[in-house]
Amino acid sequence: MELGRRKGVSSLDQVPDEIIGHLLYYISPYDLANFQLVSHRFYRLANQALLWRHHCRSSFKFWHPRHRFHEKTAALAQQTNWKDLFIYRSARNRQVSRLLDDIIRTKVHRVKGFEIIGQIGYDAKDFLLEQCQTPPSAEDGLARRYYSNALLDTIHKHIAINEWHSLMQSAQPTSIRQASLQLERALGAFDLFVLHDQHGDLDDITRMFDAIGEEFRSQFPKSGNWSTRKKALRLLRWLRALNFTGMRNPEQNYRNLRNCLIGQALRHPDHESIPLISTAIFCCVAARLDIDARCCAFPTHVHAIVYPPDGHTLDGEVVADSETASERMFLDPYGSDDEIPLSRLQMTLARLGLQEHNDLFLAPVLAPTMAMRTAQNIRATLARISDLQEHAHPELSQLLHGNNKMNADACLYAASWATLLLMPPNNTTWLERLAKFLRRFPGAWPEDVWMVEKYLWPLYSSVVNPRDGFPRNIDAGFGNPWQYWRFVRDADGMAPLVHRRDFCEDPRGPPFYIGQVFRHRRYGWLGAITSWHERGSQQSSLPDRAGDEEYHHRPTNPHYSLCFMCITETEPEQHVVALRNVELISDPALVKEGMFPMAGKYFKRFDPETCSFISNIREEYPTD
Amino acid sequence: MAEAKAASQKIWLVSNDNATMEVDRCVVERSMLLKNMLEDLGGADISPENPIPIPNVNEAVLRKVVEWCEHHRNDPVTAPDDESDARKKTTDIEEWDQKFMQVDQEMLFEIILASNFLDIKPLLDVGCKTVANMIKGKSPEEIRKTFNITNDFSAEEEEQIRRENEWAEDR
Repeated sequence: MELGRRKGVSSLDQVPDEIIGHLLYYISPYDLANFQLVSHRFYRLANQALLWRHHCRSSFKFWHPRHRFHEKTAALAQQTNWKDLFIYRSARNRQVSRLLDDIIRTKVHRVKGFEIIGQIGYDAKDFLLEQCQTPPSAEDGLARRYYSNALLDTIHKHIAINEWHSLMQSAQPTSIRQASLQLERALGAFDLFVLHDQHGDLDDITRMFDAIGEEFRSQFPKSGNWSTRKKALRLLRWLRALNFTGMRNPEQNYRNLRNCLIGQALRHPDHESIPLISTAIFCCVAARLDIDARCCAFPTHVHAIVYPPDGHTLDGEVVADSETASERMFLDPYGSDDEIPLSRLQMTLARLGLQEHNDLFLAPVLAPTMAMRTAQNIRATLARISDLQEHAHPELSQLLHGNNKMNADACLYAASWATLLLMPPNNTTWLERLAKFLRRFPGAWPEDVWMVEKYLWPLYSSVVNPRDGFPRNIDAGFGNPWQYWRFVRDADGMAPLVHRRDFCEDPRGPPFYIGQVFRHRRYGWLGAITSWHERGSQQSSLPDRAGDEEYHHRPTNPHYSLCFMCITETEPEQHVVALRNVELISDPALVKEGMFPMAGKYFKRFDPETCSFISNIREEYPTD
Repeated sequence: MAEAKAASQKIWLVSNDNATMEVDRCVVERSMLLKNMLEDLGGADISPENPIPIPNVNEAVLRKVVEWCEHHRNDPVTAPDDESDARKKTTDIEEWDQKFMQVDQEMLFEIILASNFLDIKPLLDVGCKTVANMIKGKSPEEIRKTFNITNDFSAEEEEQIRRENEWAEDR
């Protein structure tokens, strides 16, 4: 009987490899570093490729495309040095963490910091997403949340801009799937400008389409044997029945900004979209089912054209290739469950006086044209919203996440980028658009200067120095608009202008401090002071004489006034507030979390004790 | 009905030091090894005279394992594909299990080995988490001391690995 008994297991050394291998999954990579140093055996066990693959996959969700992460995880674990990859990503996180700290701490080289993180791209995303979750009450909680969000925006914008840029460099698609991928990414790029810290990037959009295609296949398992016509019509009706295309209440909803964004249309529970996006959704799902469906830029609204596969008719008959060359069917995924007869489309063209251009308007168009048209739609939508001003229904610019006004600005910005990158740059319209862009955006998006230099400058140089020796001019009497961006670069390296209360011409100093919260005496909204400066002061008009004893003793200057800027609960931008309208408040309960979307740009956190924000701009206002 | 009957059915196990114990079938079935065995055998001919032998596991350990299975008899069975490689593994242990694992190291390792042999994954996980928590935050020397392991590295080898590990230092 004693034969069956073993000696007790008294050391971890006697536990078999298999079990130690298993328990190492519960040890953090940092503890593994120590564990390896215990003995030769543990060193070997702590360096298994599968273990480090697990740590890579569980610690980091987003990877820069150059890692080809999905290919690597699909291959044998031993083919990749997963531990090195993990170490690389940890080092990146530390670099991004340092850069973020500097961005929060000082204005100097902030634009440079954005550029570096923007280029690190998706290797920085996991860390930044984590930082977005910093509690607002943490020491620099508001600033940390604000800047990590802004950095994510930069990373996303760069991906979008690069997507449009590469689209123009790439050859025409050679397969149905490739055409669909180009289309969904070119349209999804607009979503990236308003994605913030949410789910729904370009890969997610592709995955959502895959899932819809998969769902159709599982509901109609025999669809693989159907003729193209039957499959296309069934898909059309199925998508429309699920509201994936079209709109239920267009009188009210047509001009909602979200209808122009393919990712919003897919993610929003109502899935409403304009005809262009509805058609793109149809074509992209059709591609998953091997249907060759393409967008057709028909004048009133975009339609889909479905082509039969080589050697078949739409009804599935086998024929010689030459006989199917002209066969196609038209669909309107936005507005109709049925096939649209060609004659009806031709009649519409005739009514519009466009019958001469049948070939042009009844032909398929590629992704760049669709993205350009999306940009036009976004501009039209935003123009409508700005025409309506305060009568605009908030739903018009309501997206799934983020502040309406800021999202609207970002969409306009996206539309400008898309147009400049997708339009041929060799004409004066392009130059005019470029000049407008360069003048308009450096104030709102100075951190994007590197992208302007990387993507727009080469296009511009190619037109102003053409081989025909006919230089075109961009300044049109307003001066060279590139100077605004050059100024952004120059200013980035300099310490900001300092405003000291004790150096004010008025010896009492400004009556309010940076960060104080007030109610507007006339309009009732809440605001927070973000800056003050002296106007008409001798000091500011004669900077070269600063330090001169004399100005302290000047008599009261009739042109002198103090000017205050604030952020408010309604507007994203800071604006001027008159001294007499500022009524300080002292009840911290009035200041709700997230009330001021831009607070983090100026402040570290809200302090309920003093009912004011703690300044993060002491660099400029050291005595506030 | 058949299921209810099967659940209250008694099964007898015998440890490698010859101790027989009576256990409810549903408790025994926490062990995938025994569950499959019972399904194959039908379990009808198991009796106090003809118990299922559990080699490699002595009475003290088997009693501990059965105690754990009794306490967790109603836990839902987790599907094996719940364990995704892409998910972070937590080392949180519920309170009862923590108390249950307050045993000497020898018993701890024995429980881990027995749960591995009997294929009781949740118990194996609790055991592994307990050991992982003992490793957390410890220096190599402290780990050696805790688990009674001899250092078989030369000074040069140790220096070499330390250099490799510099990345983990200022995290």
